[in-house]
Amino acid sequence: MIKHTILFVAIVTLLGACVQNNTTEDKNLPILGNREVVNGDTVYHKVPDFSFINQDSQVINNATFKDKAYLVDFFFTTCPSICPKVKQQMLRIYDKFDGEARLGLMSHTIDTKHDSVPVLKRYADDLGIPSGKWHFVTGDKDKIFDIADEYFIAAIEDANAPGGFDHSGRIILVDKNRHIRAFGEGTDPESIDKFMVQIQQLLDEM
Amino acid sequence: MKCKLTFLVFTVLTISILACDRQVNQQGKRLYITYCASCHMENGEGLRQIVPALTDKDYLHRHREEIPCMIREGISGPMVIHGKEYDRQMPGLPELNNVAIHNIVNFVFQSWGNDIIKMNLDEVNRHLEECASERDMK
Repeated sequence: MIKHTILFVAIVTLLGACVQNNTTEDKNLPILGNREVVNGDTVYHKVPDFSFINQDSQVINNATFKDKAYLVDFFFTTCPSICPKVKQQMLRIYDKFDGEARLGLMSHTIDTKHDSVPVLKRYADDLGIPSGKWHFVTGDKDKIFDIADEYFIAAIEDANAPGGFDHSGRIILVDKNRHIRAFGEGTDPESIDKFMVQIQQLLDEM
Repeated sequence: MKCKLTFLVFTVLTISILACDRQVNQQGKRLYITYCASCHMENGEGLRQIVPALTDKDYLHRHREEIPCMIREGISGPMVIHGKEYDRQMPGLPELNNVAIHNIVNFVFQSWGNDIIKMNLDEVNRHLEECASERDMK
């Protein structure tokens, strides 16, 4: 009986190892989201054009990330719920890929009323982020909520939620063609461990 | 025989008191994780110059009496933690009762090498009453 159990565990472990190997052997990350076939070509979900203002009053748009992969998240500076944890994980990614010119970072505020350019500037300074490396952006509120949908991020204004907004703590990886390739749960350091491997995979693919 | 029984009772009592004490800490930890850790982090390190760490022993010593009120009512205005200035707002937790605040305070006082003498519940009650009456006067 014990022998059988050991054999069973061994087989399961081996199978598990095989499955894992297969996923790591698959070099390219998948393209996430809906896809359509138009005239025989597959059309993937693509993040539409955007234009926001960062903490240094610079316009940040799709041209900012031309030929780059980039990461996005949504937050607000007075958020008492998940944001600090997500920011801590974004900082881990920022530190790990510091000096990697092919990767951009952009955090959108969802509290556009409070989080003006100077408020975002102070936040970036207090996080210890030098200018130009990580864009903390604000803009038209509807446009920010609309683009959150495009990144598959849930964000809603809710008076009952802590701080007045309810939103997901996901960090999204977008490639240079503005396709969404992977995401990490910003509230879970282990998820971000895996996510950082995926970010490297995408950079290797470029 | 009597001696043995006394010893048994004494042992059982000691163990239950110790177990009870540990449970209080567990309670404090649970509350801390639920109400505080999302900003101050599970290891109390905070977030850069945005959320102060809870590991500045000097600060905790000097402001010992104010800490229960900070948890209940929140705090704003500049403060210096580990030599760095912080000036953001911390929201209060009015939904927590005195016992819960007592548990959180002692969890913080006894965690991450802080090693600060615990506060008893009477002390916590008194400080909370003081800040409530100060607020009413305003």
